Amino acid sequence: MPETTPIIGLEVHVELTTDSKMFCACSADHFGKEPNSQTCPVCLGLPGALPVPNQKAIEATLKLGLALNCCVNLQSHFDRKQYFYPDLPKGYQISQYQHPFCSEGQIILDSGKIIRVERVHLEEDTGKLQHTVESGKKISLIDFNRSGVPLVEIVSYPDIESAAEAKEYLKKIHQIIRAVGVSTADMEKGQMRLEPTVNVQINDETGSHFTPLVEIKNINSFNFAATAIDYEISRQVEQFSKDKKEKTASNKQTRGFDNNRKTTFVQRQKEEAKDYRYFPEPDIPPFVFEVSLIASIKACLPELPENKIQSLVSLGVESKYAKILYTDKSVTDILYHFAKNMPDVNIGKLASFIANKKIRVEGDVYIQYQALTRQRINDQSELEKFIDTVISDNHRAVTDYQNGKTNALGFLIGQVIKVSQCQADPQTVSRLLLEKLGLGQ
Amino acid sequence: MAQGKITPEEVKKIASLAKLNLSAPEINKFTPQLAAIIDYVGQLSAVEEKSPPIPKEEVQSVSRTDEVHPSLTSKSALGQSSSTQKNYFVTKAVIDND
Amino acid sequence: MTKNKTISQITTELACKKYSVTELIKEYLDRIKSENPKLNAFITITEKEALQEAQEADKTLSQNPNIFLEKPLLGVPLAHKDLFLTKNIKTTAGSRLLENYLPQYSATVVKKLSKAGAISLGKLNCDAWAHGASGENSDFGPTINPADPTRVSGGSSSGSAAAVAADLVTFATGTDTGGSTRQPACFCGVIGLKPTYGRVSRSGIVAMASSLDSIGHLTQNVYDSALVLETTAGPDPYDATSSNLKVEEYTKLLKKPVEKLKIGIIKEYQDGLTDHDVAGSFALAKSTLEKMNCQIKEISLPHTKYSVATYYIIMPAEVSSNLARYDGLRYGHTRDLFGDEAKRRIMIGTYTLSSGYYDAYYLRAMKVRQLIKADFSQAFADVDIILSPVAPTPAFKLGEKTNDPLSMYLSDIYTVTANLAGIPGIAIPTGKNSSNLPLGVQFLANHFQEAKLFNLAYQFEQHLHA
Repeated sequence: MPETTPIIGLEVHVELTTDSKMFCACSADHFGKEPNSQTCPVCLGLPGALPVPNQKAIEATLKLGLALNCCVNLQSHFDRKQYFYPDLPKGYQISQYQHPFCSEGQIILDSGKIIRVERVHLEEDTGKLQHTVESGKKISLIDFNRSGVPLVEIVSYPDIESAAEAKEYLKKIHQIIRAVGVSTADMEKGQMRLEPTVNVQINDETGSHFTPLVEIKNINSFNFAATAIDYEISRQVEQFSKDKKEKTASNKQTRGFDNNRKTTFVQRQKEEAKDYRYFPEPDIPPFVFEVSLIASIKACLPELPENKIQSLVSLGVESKYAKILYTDKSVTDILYHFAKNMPDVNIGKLASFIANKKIRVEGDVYIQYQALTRQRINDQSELEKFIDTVISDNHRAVTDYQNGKTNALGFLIGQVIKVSQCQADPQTVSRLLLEKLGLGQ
Repeated sequence: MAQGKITPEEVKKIASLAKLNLSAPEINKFTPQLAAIIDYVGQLSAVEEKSPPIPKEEVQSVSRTDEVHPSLTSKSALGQSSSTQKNYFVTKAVIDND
Repeated sequence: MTKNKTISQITTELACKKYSVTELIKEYLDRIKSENPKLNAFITITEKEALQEAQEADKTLSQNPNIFLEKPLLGVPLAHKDLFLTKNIKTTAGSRLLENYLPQYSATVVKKLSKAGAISLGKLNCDAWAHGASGENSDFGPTINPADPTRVSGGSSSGSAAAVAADLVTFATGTDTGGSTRQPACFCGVIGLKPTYGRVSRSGIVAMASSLDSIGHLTQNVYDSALVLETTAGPDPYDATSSNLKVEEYTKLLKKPVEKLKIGIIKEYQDGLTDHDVAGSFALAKSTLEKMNCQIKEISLPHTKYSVATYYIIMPAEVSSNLARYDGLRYGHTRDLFGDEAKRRIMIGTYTLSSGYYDAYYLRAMKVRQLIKADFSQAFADVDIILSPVAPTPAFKLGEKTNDPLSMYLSDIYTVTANLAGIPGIAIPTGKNSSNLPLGVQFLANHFQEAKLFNLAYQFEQHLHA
């Protein structure tokens, strides 16, 4: 049985939440807008139009890169990536090739395994193509509202070895993006797009072999990503057993993912290695960042999910509950407050009660906690002290009872429970009360 | 520096990369012209590769504030195209790309 | 002095009501109608719009006689090279591919000149996509040299130079990527300015080579050239490469004394001056400067011999990329309407940027470009201004160079260096040869030293006409 090791890399594209587009002042909020209503000479690729970069988008990229533990390249620039396609109005995309804003970062999985991030760079989005049929002919309708929207690309090294790891990596990236606040990363709106590249190392009697690389497109959820990866791994192993074809510099394939059949399919029959003819973008001067700017961005980064989770764990919260609760400020405020001020409260238990919905955080948390963890007072003399206190404080009720108003007993029992902070057993209290009352004043 | 003349095959490939539809006679016409030019510019290989001096401070780190200004109306955006439908630009179908 | 009216003459005469703006514009339009069929300088004549603006200018002038302080070019007739986008007015870039294109916006420079009060009479012919040094690459026929109907006007700003020389307009805009303003100015006997790269906004002008394109203009004299630059220069939020450096009051600095200015003569060019007329023009310039008590010094630009090769790698690379947007989908026709010269440059550029060739060509050329820049830096530490020829010959005959693209490229030898270095240059006429063909020279200065350039050029001009 040959030994197989999947090799998976992930490319994630994130639409930044900015007011304006990457290189022009058109609105970047394009989802659901009238087609071609948010364009200008720049993003429509009209003659003579020149790109001017969006400051906020650049800062967002630096923030995100730093949150992913990258180094910021102090000298950086944009490059032109050249190819022809109807949704690309200039015939080139302004992106970054040789000197991206950020590089060499990492994500640490729960298992402690490190997935290295190769680069975090900034580029512009393309327009949107819609395929349809008109009078029997296949046509494409193009809307340039999305053309020029800022896009951050996060590329991992192929350190991922399973669909599960891929899913975890994607979830962590997603959390960080939202925590840093650079994008709402709504998958349904296409604000975060995923592209796994998969191949498999197969070790058999003849040695070590690598199957051809496959890039999978058209995946719009983490679950689908995992499914697609799993399918692709099996398919490649099976394919290799039949044709023994190995990876070369020019046989990388692009496949699409079919959500319904849960399979991947070939998108193009014959694929040539693309020549993007990258060269530095001459219309945009290069960037030089001061070390002090980077330091200030880093200092202002909000606390990241990993850190928040760790902090809760160190309070005594179980890891599985920390991962759920860390996002809710009202909950974490309570946990920190109790940890600081109520030494008798077990934070781990409190967290589990909240997570399991046994305590409503809108109500009196302490009382609910006590109700769930109350210990009964067993010492009768202690109980009698409470009862004596209640009797002496509530003449009216006592008199009422003695005059035949049996309801007053319930009231008095309730008072004893209250005074004993719920630690008194109602039935024992009832018995003792009756004894004392029966003895008379 | 790549020596050797540029071939009609190469010219065909380049034209295709540049989305220029060249006829066979055009390829034959352009090949020697391009070859002569490429040959001429190839003389740069003779320049010694010493590292050039760092240029004086030029314009750098230019960006603009993230604010929205009015866009073109869709009528204006679409108005110069000979191929539109409702508010879309139209082209004949393309095979799925990136 | 030229018989053609200058900007200051016009504004003075308008101010003292010698004629109205409408009368003036009508006169120029009439001249265009009679001369343009011969010269083919204009692709589009905007008679209606010009007369409308003239009427509005007359109204403004009558309400506010001091308006020239605010609008220094009020009423002055100009035209734009057809590379400059003019909103709703046909802009072709000299190519059939854009023969029906009505731009949705205007170039920054077009707006600035209009705001200063100048009145555009139309769009000027040029080599298609600015590819050329004669005007013969225009899809609308070449522009004829006003001095000789059998000869070219030069290029690519062919229409601009001819229109100014023939007094069809007082001044015209142009672009200079490898000499396209200076060389036609020289061929037609007018002043052609190439400002420092980044001095004038490129926004709204059909891009040829992004790191080389300089936005200039052609005028009747040096004073006008300085005046126009005061309007067109300055930073532009729509052009990230435009400079924030303060725009000087160039017209106020023209009379500074120029004795003792050090003028450099490029050692490496001296053997190449084989044309008798060009050599004579150069010698005249040199002796005039000596009479002006300037100090002539020989300087060396050792890498200048690689200029043309460097230029013809970098420029086509950027051209091939800038022309990728012309796919016929959003405007214009399809790519098969590119002419031969455009196709050649697109293919060279695609080749030199392609995988396997990028390092050997484009990257290498960018490195040599730095060496050329460094040569100039060193030279300007030694001299204030450089004197240089503009072209190897005066205006050549139509059809003389169209068979050999490479030989046409080689005639750019004296002009491309300024574009590679990004420095400013001004072409100035020195006289005519025995066949009445204009001759000229150019002065080059260091980055953003246009004031120095105009100062010397102005005094030189005065001396020549003394």
